[in-house]
Amino acid sequence: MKSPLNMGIGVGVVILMVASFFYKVSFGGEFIPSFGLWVAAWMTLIILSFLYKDNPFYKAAEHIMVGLAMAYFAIYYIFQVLEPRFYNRLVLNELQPGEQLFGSPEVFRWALIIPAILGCLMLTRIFPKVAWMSRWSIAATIGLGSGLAIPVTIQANITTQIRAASQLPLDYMTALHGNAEVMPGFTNVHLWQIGVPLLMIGTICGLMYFFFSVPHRGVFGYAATFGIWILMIGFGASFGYTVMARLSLFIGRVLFLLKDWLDWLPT
Amino acid sequence: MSRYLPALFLVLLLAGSATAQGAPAPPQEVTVEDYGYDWGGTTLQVEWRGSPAEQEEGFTGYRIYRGDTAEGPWEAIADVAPKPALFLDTEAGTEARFYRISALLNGQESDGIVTSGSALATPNRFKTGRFNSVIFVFLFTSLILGWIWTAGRKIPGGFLLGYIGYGAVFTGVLLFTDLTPIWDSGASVLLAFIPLLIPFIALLIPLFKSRGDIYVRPIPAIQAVEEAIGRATEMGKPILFVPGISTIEDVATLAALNILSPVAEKAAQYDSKLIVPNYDPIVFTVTQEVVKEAYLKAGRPDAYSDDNVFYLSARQFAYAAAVNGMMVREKPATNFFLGMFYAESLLLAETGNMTGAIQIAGTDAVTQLPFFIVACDYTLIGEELYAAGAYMGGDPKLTGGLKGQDWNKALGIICILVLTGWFVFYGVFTDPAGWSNWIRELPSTLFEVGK
Repeated sequence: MKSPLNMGIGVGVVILMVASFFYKVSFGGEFIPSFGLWVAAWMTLIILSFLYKDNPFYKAAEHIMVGLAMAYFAIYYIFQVLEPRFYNRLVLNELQPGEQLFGSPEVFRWALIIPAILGCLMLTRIFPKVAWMSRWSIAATIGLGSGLAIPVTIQANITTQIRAASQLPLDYMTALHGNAEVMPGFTNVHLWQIGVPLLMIGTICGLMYFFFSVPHRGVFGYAATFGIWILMIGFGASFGYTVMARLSLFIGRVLFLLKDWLDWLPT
Repeated sequence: MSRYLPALFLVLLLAGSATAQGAPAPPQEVTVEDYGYDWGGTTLQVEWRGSPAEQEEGFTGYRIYRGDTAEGPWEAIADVAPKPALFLDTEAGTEARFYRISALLNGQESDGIVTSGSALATPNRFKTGRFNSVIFVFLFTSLILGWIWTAGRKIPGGFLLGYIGYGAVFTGVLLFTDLTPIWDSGASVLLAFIPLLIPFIALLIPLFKSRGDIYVRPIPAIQAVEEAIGRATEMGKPILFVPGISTIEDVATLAALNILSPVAEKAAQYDSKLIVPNYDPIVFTVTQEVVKEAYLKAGRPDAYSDDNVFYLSARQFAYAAAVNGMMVREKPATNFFLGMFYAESLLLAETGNMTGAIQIAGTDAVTQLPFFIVACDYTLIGEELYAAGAYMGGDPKLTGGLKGQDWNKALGIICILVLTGWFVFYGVFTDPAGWSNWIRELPSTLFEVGK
């Protein structure tokens, strides 16, 4: 790694970094804004240098990001969670309307002690002898998390989907009877005559692909294969769409370097 | 007299402007309705759109008055802060109530705006608008639990007792609580009986169950797990397991932890180093416990090291940058990306691809699946991720759960087919625009979640 070439490249980059800063300041840039631009621009270039290969500059940027993120979240949790959600409610009694438990705001207020205790128990992991106490907090977190996730998942991933799938033929038939103005999404009825049946069959075949306890053979196998084809077409479209979005992010970053930092393009 | 008129006009104008400055504009659009979840109490919820005077200095909030008629008499019951523009009257009683709200600025009170109508507080122990959701949660979970409890048993005795108990409790809850809005709402009455039928539906299912092992179709990604761990052992390189960047409540994270356990157990058996970088602090503590337990189960507690299961960062791209760095430095032979992922998915998968690792990914994030499919060797799509834990664990109860999930999907397909068939058949002969509202609103009534 420490070849003369690598050392040379490293020294060259450092010289460029220093020179670019003084260039910006000496040509009318104010010190603090120039420093901010300088950091943002070089961090962009250093992170992109990973495309070439791992290097000490990337390592430094990576550690700065991780360290900054840690510091940011420590402060965030204190001022956005501990203070407003715990201290202000429990100690200062600043409850919002509707914040009540068993019909009583006071019960709600004092019940906050329970999560506080569970939170403190998490800290017992620091001491190996009593670290087992943190399992109570973990158990409560997972239990509550799963309990909350089950109805939400059923609502969002099952019932809402069934509603949408069964609403579609109703809207479709309404549009077929010449009520296009009632269903503005169905103005091109001829196109939807292909689209709606395809959507319905695709939905059902897609579901059939995810049957795990039935062998994918015979008619069921064909249906499941059609289902995975539909899924893959969907993934392909999603891939193209997201890649375009990422390219636009990249273009934005390049424009930042050329416009804001280097002033090579008019703003 | 006429010469005094301009002066009089000026005095009146100044007096008028002084009043305008002193008394603030009143709030707007004051509404009152029954509060949907008051634990059996009598609470009314009053809402309003804020006064324009809120922006002025010295604005202190609003004064709430309660009355039995739209004309009063009014009783001041509270002064509240400007935000949120909401007041819950927990002492509304059982009579019809009107409310009047006025704005307060520098001690001056605006005219009061009265609610356009009255409201009657009814005791509600449940969010009745979500009753259909409760039904489906019971229906779907009972199908899964039914299969879990009966897996490997010939006579579902415990299951039977459990569901008789469930039916009794549910009936008790219905009788004990006030569900008047449901009983009064015509077709919805039928819905109230469905939960009572669930135990009987669930009871029937085990009768159809064959006594042999439950068949599970092979999934290539899961079959490749052992091969991938073996490869790492042969190459003497570590295994990287990324449990996603979501919280512990996320189903995908829980599914990833289900897979982590058998992966860690196999890694311990083969004496391979397993690295688990974590994004979320709570997930971190759980992964530590899971891996420690797996090493213990494999009879290799000495091989476990806290240094290999560590917390990294809760910032998405800081985490991605650090994991990428780890991949190029440690060069793991096998990468697992299982759980919930966002924009960092391609960054991770592409870097892993560059290092030549065998990669097994799995997520239920639809937008990230394409990236894993193109950059990884194997991908668990959506529910395959949830099923993987059952496949790898080999526990009959988990495979029973899979069977229950399949029944749920069948139920979903049946619901779609029945409603579609009905709408299409009926729609061929008549115009749906002329159908009764309850038919046209059936999908929403059954499946949409209300307030």
